[in-house]
Amino acid sequence: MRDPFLMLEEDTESLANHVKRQLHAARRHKDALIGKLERRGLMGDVHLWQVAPDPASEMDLVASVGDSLEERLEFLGCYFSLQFLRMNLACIDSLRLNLISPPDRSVVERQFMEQAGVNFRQLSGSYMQKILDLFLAGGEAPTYAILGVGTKADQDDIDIGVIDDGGTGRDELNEAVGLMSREMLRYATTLHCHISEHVGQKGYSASIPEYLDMLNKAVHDFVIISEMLNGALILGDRGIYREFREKVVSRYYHRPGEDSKWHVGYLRGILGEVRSLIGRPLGRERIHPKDDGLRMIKATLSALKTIHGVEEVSAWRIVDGLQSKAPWNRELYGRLSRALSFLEVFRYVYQLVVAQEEEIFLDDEAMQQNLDRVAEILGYRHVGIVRPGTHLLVDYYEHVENVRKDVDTLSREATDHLKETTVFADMFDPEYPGNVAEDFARRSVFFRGTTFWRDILEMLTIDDGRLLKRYLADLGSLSPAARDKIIERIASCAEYAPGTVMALLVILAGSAACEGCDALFADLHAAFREKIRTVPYAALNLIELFYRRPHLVNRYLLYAGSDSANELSEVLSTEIWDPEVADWRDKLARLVDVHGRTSRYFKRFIERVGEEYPSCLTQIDNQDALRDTSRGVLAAVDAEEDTPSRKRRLGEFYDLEFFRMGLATLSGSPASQIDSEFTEAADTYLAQLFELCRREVDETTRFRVATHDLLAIYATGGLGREQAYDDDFDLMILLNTSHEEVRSYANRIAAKMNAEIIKRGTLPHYRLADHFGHYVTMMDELEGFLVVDRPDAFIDKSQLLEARMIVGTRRFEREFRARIIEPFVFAQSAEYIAHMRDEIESRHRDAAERGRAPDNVKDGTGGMRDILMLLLMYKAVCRLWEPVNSKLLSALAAIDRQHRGELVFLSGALEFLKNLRNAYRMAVGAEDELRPEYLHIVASAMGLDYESEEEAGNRLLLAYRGCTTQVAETVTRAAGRLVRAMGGGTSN
Amino acid sequence: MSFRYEIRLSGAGGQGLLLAGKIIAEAAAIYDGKLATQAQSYGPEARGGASKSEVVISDEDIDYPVASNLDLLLALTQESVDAYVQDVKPGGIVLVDSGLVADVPEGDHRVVSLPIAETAREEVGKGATANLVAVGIIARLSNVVASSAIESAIRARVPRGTEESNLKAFRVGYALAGEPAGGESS
Repeated sequence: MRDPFLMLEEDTESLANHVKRQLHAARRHKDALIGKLERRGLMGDVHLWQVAPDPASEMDLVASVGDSLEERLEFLGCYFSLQFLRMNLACIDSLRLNLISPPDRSVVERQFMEQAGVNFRQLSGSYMQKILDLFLAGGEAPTYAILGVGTKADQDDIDIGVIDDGGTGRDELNEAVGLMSREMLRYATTLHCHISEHVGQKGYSASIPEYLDMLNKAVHDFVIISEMLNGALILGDRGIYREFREKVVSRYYHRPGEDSKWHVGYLRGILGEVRSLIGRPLGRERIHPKDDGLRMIKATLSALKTIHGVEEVSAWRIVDGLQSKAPWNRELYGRLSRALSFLEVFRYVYQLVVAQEEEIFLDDEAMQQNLDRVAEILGYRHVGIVRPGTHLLVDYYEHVENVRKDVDTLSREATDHLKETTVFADMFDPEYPGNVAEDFARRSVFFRGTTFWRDILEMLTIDDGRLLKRYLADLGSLSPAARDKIIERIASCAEYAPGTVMALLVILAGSAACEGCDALFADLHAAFREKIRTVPYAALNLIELFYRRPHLVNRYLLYAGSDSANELSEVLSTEIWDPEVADWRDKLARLVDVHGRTSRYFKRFIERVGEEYPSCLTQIDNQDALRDTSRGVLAAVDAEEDTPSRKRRLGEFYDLEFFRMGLATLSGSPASQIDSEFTEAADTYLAQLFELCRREVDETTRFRVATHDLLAIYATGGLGREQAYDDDFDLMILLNTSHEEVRSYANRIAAKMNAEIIKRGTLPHYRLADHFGHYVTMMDELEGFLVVDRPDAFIDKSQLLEARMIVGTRRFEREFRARIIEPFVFAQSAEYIAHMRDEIESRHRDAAERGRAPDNVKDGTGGMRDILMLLLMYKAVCRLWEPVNSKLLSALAAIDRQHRGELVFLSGALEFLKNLRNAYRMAVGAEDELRPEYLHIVASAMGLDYESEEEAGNRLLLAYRGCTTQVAETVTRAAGRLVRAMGGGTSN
Repeated sequence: MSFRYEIRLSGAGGQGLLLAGKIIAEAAAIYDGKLATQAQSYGPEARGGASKSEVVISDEDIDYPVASNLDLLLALTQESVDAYVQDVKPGGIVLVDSGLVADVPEGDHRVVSLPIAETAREEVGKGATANLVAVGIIARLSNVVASSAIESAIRARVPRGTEESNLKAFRVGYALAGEPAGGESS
């Protein structure tokens, strides 16, 4: 017969390395144990090589053959080790068998885990009992109970709580528990005594009065309370365990009519913990079943069991209880239960066959192989080239995603419950007799350190902010010192719950009409900023908050101002070792940076996108991802149910594109690229908006007026010139018919478009509308208008010359050129360009007479308008149709080779001025007059690298002035030359 | 004469401090014939990603497992050194990662500042083994557990197939602690 120990060693090759500890212990003591058992004739009664049916009884026999305490302990350790190894080997075999083709794998997983828990608890509990008995033998021990407060099947460590009666003999008990802990570390597993450690006594155990004394003063550690709530008796006296549950644990359940502070405090702590866990980024190269899902599930179940009065302590049994008591969430509980089973069995098997570690790295081949081994035990197979571990990971991530969504949904129920049961509920009554601000501060002391205050924040905003107004009024009635103290106390929550303070600040900032809001916002914000700069882990807490609630952080930044943004940048500059967290830090830092150097003009888009598409806030350095989002939104327009929803969605597309391009501008993308992308987006928006508005009008009139070749929309002004970020959309709606019904129809469409465009924060201007009194202009009217000789006609002609069709047909375009552009602009080009030259010179003269005028990038001498006017002159002379932009200058350089140098210079100058204007608009404000004190921000956005801010601003200003001086000279010279070439003099 | 040696490993979640604590405790208790306890942080103190593991090693029974008078503090974040340095006994060791901890408060303790994470990345080729580099340094600085016992504990703790890279990390750390300590101060 082969040596059974050798066989055991071979069998355990399939288990993880940690079983070396048990093999080490068995190897050291097995021969002595076998010798003693044989001498006493007990070998037949003790199972050393098979799973024992009754390990507790066999441990009595094993202990009995030792001659000394030391030897008894060694034999018990040896026996435990052998049983432990056999039990685990049997577990794996059983799981393999049951998962070959299960009808419902989650049922098998649950049954397996429950049985594994029973087996391990029976073995470890018996072992603990035996060695504790040995150490307590003959001594005077108090009445005690040892509770198992962790996962029953968890072999990595055993979390226990020790309760005693506080009587004499506690020292003996503590000494015995200490020795038991020592033995457990040697042969079994580490014991952790969190609950009793938390009471603060220097020992392993604590009495019920000691627990009560500590827990009466504050909520304390909600994780410990969860352990108490879910503690099951392993050893000791059932009476003291029952008393502990009645006197200590039951207070954390919802008990109508009784003081709810313990229950509410626990919920505020544990739900905050759940939110914190949801807020941790999933690893890219590692997984962590406990942090990724199990802790969230168990914490949520624990919270809900106190709400619904479920007394069970096992997670699965709690789910059963909740499904019975809260059947409206049956589906959610079912999904949580399946995720719980999957994650538990995966973690259990991983720890059994790979390593007793929570964190699983996926970044090398050895670990991939380990994962495959786990997956195969769990019934996953190779399918083609896809490995079992890959299949397992797919299920893993699906469960984890579901868990995150479901626990968030379930916390909604807890929020509503808190609103009804909170100790502050009486303050929600308008007739509350006390001072709400003062009483809230006093009562909230008990809850210090808890982080879930969603219910109170929601109460502040409902009912037209009634509670907020009352709070502010009561706060205002206090002495300055008392008010400051309360504000300081609220701000101090930033250490644990920066999101709660941030949310309150956002409420205050958004309720500016409330008397006292501004003042409280200012004072609380100042205190909050101070805290964030000084409290530990501020950066990590902020990153977690951003990961979980990017829109809240964004809203806060919108109100906070650039100084706060700069301070946050400083806080975030700390060392972060975790690459995933560091990655999120970088994303947050980028958003903070954008807020710190962004114009109000652009912030409107950041705000709108942040509210509707918060995930975009986390992608601000990823143009491709942002573009994908906006394309997806555009594609979804037609899928909306009704026209208002389609228009809303289309508007979101425009906002997203603006947001994306604004970020690109702030990152130094060139104006040529931005202008091109902006034009494409704006054209798409306007063309689709026209279609939607037309459909809407059709729906009301119940018939459609044919406009195929009769109607066109032209962009003129900045949009016509393909220039991004103008304050307004200059549009011309032209009709090639005199039919009044068509004009009325087109006017109604235009009115609807107008109302929609305004929502985007850009004013539509209808060129020519001021002459004719309608949004829509008929071609006949336009002809009649142009035929009259007026001194300022060149202005309207310029609008027409730079017009670019957005909606319409080629036939309409041909008609427009033939009836309007050819006869009134091209045929009169000499006169037109003479007017334009005079206008340029007149503007230069006026500017010179005014002295040092503000630096206006658009209308200043040598600014963009000079170049664009020259381009219009060229366009009229050369009869060109291309849009008026720097590409046209390049085209002209090829035509007018004699003056190529000038034109190339102007092309570069226009690009520089546009870059400057675009960056200025995104970083400083939507104005054309440059304020030198802000130019360093613009220089940074343009990617110009200078040693100091001052130098950056000065050098950019010098570059601008140098450029415009040269542009003015060049344009004046070129304009004069063009006029002379056309045989003209002055226009008058 | 009996001794009690208290070690606290502190830093951020995910830095492998709990595993490091278990390895040191098991090395002492299972493979080196000493007595040891190990405790670790849970709950609110772990919010924001903080992590803490404590090991008490003695040659006699340990009546209370929590470390409060530290012989050695390992701090892998600035927050952890700020929070725990006052628990270090006079003459105790404060071991910090020079790349992650910029300032160590002054006091009656010996500061050892070494590039732990960087060494794991550069010399072992795996940043995740920084915890075992730290264990190697601790083994040499404390000299309370035999390095062979720690190697046995590592073999018994790490996943199959990763034993050699983890042992390499430990040995690299052990050697690093023996080099002329440029970052050391009292």
